[in-house]
Amino acid sequence: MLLAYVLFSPLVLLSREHEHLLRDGAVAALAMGAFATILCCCVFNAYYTKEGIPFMGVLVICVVFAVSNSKRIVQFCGPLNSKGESDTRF
Amino acid sequence: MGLLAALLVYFSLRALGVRPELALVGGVCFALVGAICLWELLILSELLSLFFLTLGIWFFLCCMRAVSNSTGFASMALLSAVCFSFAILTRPENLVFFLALTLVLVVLAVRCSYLPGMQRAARSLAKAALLLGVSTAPLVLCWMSWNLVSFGQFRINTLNGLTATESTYNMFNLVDSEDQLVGKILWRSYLLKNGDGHIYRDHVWFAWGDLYTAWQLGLLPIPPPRVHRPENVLVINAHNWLDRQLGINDNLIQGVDLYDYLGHVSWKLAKKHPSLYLHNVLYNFATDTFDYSHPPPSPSETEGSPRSRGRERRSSQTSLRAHRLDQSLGGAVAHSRLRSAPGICSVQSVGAAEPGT
Repeated sequence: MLLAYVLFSPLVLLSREHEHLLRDGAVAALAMGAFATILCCCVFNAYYTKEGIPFMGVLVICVVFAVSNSKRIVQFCGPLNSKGESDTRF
Repeated sequence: MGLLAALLVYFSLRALGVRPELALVGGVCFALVGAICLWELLILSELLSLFFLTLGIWFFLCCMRAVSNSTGFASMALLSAVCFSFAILTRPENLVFFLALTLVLVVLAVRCSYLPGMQRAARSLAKAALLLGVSTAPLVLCWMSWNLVSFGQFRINTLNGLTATESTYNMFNLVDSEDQLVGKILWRSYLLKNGDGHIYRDHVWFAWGDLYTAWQLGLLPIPPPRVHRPENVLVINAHNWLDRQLGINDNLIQGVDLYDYLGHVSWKLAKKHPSLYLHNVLYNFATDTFDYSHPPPSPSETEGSPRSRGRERRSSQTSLRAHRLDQSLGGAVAHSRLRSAPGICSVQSVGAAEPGT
């Protein structure tokens, strides 16, 4: 889930939609922060499962926010699947 | 703290505009995560870090809502920064989380500045990012300054050298000739702790006694242990008080030079064998970051229980493995100075181990 947010965050940040930009950006920022920390753990030390515990809150927030905005995600994925291009809405 | 964090998750979701019933489901799901329940029982840094991070996130999301509604956001940004600074002091890796969060906030501010009708939000976001950075820094800098007056190093974490060995845990037979003794000690502990498909990356703790003794005997290419003590009376008194409160002993403080040396050896290995190092990193990422099973508490937390007695049995099996390994490595050829030192029998035999075995 965090990986999906990180991969799609450029689309969120480049979105022209004003209404949800700040909320989407805030959740993308949380996901990127958690993902970057986990990646740094792997690179500089080693990641152990217990090190994911502080980010459980971020994970739950990201999942529930995605469920809550599932309609917008489907709208975003629809044109992407049919036309092969995005209308930059998330 | 786990329950408080569950409440904060609920409030964070509400701050994001999630429906109350869905936010409630999120909070309940969070409270039912097995790892949270398990670690709630152990007074360790993970749950404390989770609490401070979740509290900081809630304030951060309130700050973002205030920016969106064009209302006052400064107090929320300040509170968020204070929580994040406590989270960073609890577990230093949270600094990465905070920096990434602030960076995305800056990018968001830049993006908003190019959108029509969002200039006000862009200015508010830039101010919020600045407030977050400026307000988080003092507490972290205070801790780093304390480290500076305590043992002369302006840094947030003293253990990072030691933990760097975990990313090169299986490469210590490839060390340079000047680091051969450390390589042999760590390669031995790697062989002892890893086997039967079990990966044990932090075997350095198992080898710590031998490493420290070798260091005390002056066998490592770093200056021997020394007591880093400040000269100022006030600092000495404050230091002694904090040592008593935290139960810190001199060994922990003196060990910083050895931690750094081990980190230096590990980074040399990573630079010399980048493919092996990257394999370790990617394997760690691919296997452990998707693993949500949590091991039971350590023996010290279950002292006297049947489980700990089982561990004692396994510990004696490890000793037997160590003895057999010493024999197979050829314990007869040992370093002469180590041989003369009392209480360092395991290092004696390690001295004979050939790299690459």
